[in-house]
Amino acid sequence: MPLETVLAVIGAALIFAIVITALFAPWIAPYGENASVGGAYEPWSAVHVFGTDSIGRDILSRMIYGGRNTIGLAFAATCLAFFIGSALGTAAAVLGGWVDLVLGRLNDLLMAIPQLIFALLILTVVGSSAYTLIAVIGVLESTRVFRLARSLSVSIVHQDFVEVAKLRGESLGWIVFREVVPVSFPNLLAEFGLRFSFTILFVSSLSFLGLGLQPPTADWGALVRENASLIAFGDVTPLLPAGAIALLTVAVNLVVDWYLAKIRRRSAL
Amino acid sequence: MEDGTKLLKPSRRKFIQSTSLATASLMLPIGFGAGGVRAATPQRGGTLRVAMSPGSTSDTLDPMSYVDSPQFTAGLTLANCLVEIDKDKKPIPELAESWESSDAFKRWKFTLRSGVTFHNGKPLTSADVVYSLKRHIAPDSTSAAAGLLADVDDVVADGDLGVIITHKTGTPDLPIIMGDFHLVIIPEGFTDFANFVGTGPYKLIRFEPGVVLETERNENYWKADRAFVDKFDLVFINDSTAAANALMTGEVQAVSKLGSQLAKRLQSRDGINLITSEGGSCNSLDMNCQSKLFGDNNVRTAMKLAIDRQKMVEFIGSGFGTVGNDNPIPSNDPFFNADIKQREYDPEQAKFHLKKAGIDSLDLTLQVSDAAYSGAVDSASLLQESAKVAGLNIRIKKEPEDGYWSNVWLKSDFMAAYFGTRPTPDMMFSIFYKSGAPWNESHWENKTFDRLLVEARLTDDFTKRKEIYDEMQQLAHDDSGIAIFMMPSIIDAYASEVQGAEADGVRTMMGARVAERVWLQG
Amino acid sequence: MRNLILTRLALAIVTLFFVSVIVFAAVRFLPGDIAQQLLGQSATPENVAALRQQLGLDVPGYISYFDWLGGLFRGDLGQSIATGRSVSELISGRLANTLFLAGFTAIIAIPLGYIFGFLGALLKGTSFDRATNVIALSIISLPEYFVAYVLVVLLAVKTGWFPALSRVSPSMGFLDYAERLVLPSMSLGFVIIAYIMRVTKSSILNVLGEDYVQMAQMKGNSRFRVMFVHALPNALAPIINVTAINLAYLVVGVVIVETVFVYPGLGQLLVDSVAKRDMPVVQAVCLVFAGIYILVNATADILIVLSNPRLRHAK
Repeated sequence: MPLETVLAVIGAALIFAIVITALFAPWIAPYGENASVGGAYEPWSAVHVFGTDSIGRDILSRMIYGGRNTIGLAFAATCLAFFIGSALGTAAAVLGGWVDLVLGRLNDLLMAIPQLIFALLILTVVGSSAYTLIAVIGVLESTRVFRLARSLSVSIVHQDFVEVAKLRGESLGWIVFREVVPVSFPNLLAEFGLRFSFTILFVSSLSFLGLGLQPPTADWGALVRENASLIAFGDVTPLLPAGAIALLTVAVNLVVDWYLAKIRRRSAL
Repeated sequence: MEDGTKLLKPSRRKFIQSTSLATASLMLPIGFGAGGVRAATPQRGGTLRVAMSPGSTSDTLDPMSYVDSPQFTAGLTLANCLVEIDKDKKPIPELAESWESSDAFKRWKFTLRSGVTFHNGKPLTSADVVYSLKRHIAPDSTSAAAGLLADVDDVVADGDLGVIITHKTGTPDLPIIMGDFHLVIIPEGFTDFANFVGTGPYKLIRFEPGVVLETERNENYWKADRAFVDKFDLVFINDSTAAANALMTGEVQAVSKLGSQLAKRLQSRDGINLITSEGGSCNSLDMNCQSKLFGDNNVRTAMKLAIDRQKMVEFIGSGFGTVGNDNPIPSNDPFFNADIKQREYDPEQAKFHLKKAGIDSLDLTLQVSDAAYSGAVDSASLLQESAKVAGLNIRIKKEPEDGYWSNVWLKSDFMAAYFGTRPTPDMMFSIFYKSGAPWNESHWENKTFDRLLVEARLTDDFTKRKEIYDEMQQLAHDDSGIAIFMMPSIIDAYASEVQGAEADGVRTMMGARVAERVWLQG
Repeated sequence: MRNLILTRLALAIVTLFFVSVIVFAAVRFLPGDIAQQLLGQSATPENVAALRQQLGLDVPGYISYFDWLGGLFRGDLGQSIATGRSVSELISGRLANTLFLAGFTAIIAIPLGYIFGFLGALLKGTSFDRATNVIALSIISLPEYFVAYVLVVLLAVKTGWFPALSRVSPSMGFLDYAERLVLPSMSLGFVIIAYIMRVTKSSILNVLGEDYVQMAQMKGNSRFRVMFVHALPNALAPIINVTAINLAYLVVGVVIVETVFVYPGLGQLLVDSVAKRDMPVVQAVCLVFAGIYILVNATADILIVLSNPRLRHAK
């Protein structure tokens, strides 16, 4: 097996393991998300694998719950981004003309405002909750998806089967989702992986700045911030959630690299 | 009191080196405090950098705007008050060299030290004092000290060096009030606070709000035995970890109010001394008594019972501190009421009180930020767990640290807060508990309490006064919306080259006077 | 070609105009009465009315927008509500700090990114290539604060080589200043090197696959010469693009690094001002950020046109 494939298999296994752990957090985590079950800052031990935090909560349990929250949030936001971005992007390509122009300009405009700054502004104003986080990140990320979906679709819309569907008088929604998107899907899927790992970083950055989920809800970015003071004393525990983020994003990247190479080969054939 | 300033003019440096202890204590008899003899001879020179929080880009040097220790420290670095409060909460002369009262504490005369000059060379006169004090009591004043001075009737000059202060009800505590951090003296008519001018030990070089206050020694400083370092910088670091890092890497030589968890870890580290002061501050959860939610005292009492105070001290204080009893008067205060029963964690009793208010369970939002006190967000998580059992479902809303004191404090119905204790029960109650006081954190209004406050002021007899204060403490414990669950130790950390640092019963950083009191060992 | 450039510039200006409208409107149409929120519950109606007037909330939106825009052209950005100081004064010092950190990092990191990218393409398939690939991927996958904190542990706390904080002041000497910038600019730099390296490598490898380059190689030119003379000019567009993105990131993406190192830059000012709802400052800082972002991107587009032989000679 080529190296890329081996790496992709490892990546997929990692993603699977992390996602399963996140999904079944209440059954897998040894303790509750916010239960104070030990003394402050207990060291690593058989009872508390990664020790405890400042108020005696089991860090492993919080990491497991944190993974569930972070991944769930990032996944929802990415889905939203793809729904908005691919629908509008493909529609712009299919309709062309002034619709394309207006949507394109609007998109450029949104992209001209730095993402983190925009998110910071809006979240401070509307308040940070799981829903507002998903909405804000979803909309901001959709601008990137819009660009890709549009450029992928432009080459597709002039092919015969789309023209035929148009002549048949199919609705815009039908053309977008039944004719064009299925063709651009492989590339969109690869982009989904990259956007998802980017969103995890984005979410954790916002949490780190204190604009993520509200305490005592655990999420990976906030866990780093909560325990950051330990770093100054050479304790690596706070870096574990950051390591989990890195593990997941690297795993996603490995799978996406492999997948992209595969669809490139296929289109070259 | 001797006037030392003339003596000092020639050859100050030599004077300090040769005869510091003997002559200095003659000039300022109580200045060294009862704390004892200094182990080492103070040395001149060096740059002292102190990290404090909170600092904000919106800070100004206008004394009316001071809200917390960093600004208090800035004020007392650049300026002086009429009266200095020593570490045992006793008033000692500062710009006023003496004072006397008449007419049942209603009329006070302060006599100013002569020969004191401002940084711009202007000599200090009673007009400056009148201007400085009257800014706070003007009818449209926005000063944080307005509540404290609400009963001050007028301030008038009596010759060049005399100031007469009249008080509506009369109080024996007026000299201590004059030592309040807001009441620093500035030149008459002064408004250019970006270029602050005072009589203090250090002169302003540069002030960048939220970043740094840089100062250099005032070579004409009128106190001979103070102000040893050449440069004093106040560095604003809101992130406690960053502050601890700065201390360990030598970026700063002292950190004010180190978090207890960090303190626990720094305890054993070489080159760092921790100085802990007890009874200097109160950590509280404040409930707005005027709100629909907390209008009923049963709900407030339920909340007070739903706090696991032992756990708070164990985790939030890391053992540095004592359990609070919803009473702001610390146990080392002579007026402390020791008879109030300690309130314990009792979810059943809390439920009982909720039921009395006609409620089974209550959903509410707690606004919190680590700017309130170190570990505040953690304390909210602990409270959420302990209060759940009592039927109080708390949603935590974490607010940005920067801006917490301007946007959340006093404006929220349910929030975490801290306040530093003041030297007298009168000040504590006037500032934080009296009806309508600007900093009345829980918007509590209690007619009996207000009446007793005035009554205590007119009573000079200690026993009678204590009886009144005992009753007031009981009222605060029973009825007010300020749930003081813990009195944390104030922990200041100093690099070992910093000498002369002591504990202070009132404020961090030696009562905000660190700049003029410590020195660096070469 | 001049037309292309002029069009791109005009587009940038139009975009900037619309962004200014968005920024102004976002702040203006926030839910709730800003004046009331700023003053708190104890404010008198007179105070609120006075502040509404000061903020221009008492006139229709478009009028106060044009007032604001007019002020912008005169260099008058209004006054900060929180401090009463002039906004341009507040921003200028911070902007200088941010630009200095960005410049300092860019000068070191961007060339390193190119060098590693070239080496990766030149040595494709070797263990050097594999190692740099893995390292770059990991760095990109790590949260920025992770990199920053690891640097603090290793280079400040454990060894004491550099200050853990980057508090700077104008009165500081250049060396002092630079010393404080080392850790934040390393935190930023690693990410940038990794990104630029990846794009540089892949775009050169892409071009290397094309016929004319293979031809040049067959003619017996050295691999090094082929890469610089034949491949590079045609691989420039993506490289310029990724450089621009990273330059923009350096200016606007430093909020987190500024937070870790307590560096008094524009990002910190924005975070502070947003928290305080100090609207004139928020508007101005957002506009500065967006302006830099748009300018850098426009410059990149123009450079891409200039670097492309076909476009350069287009009529």
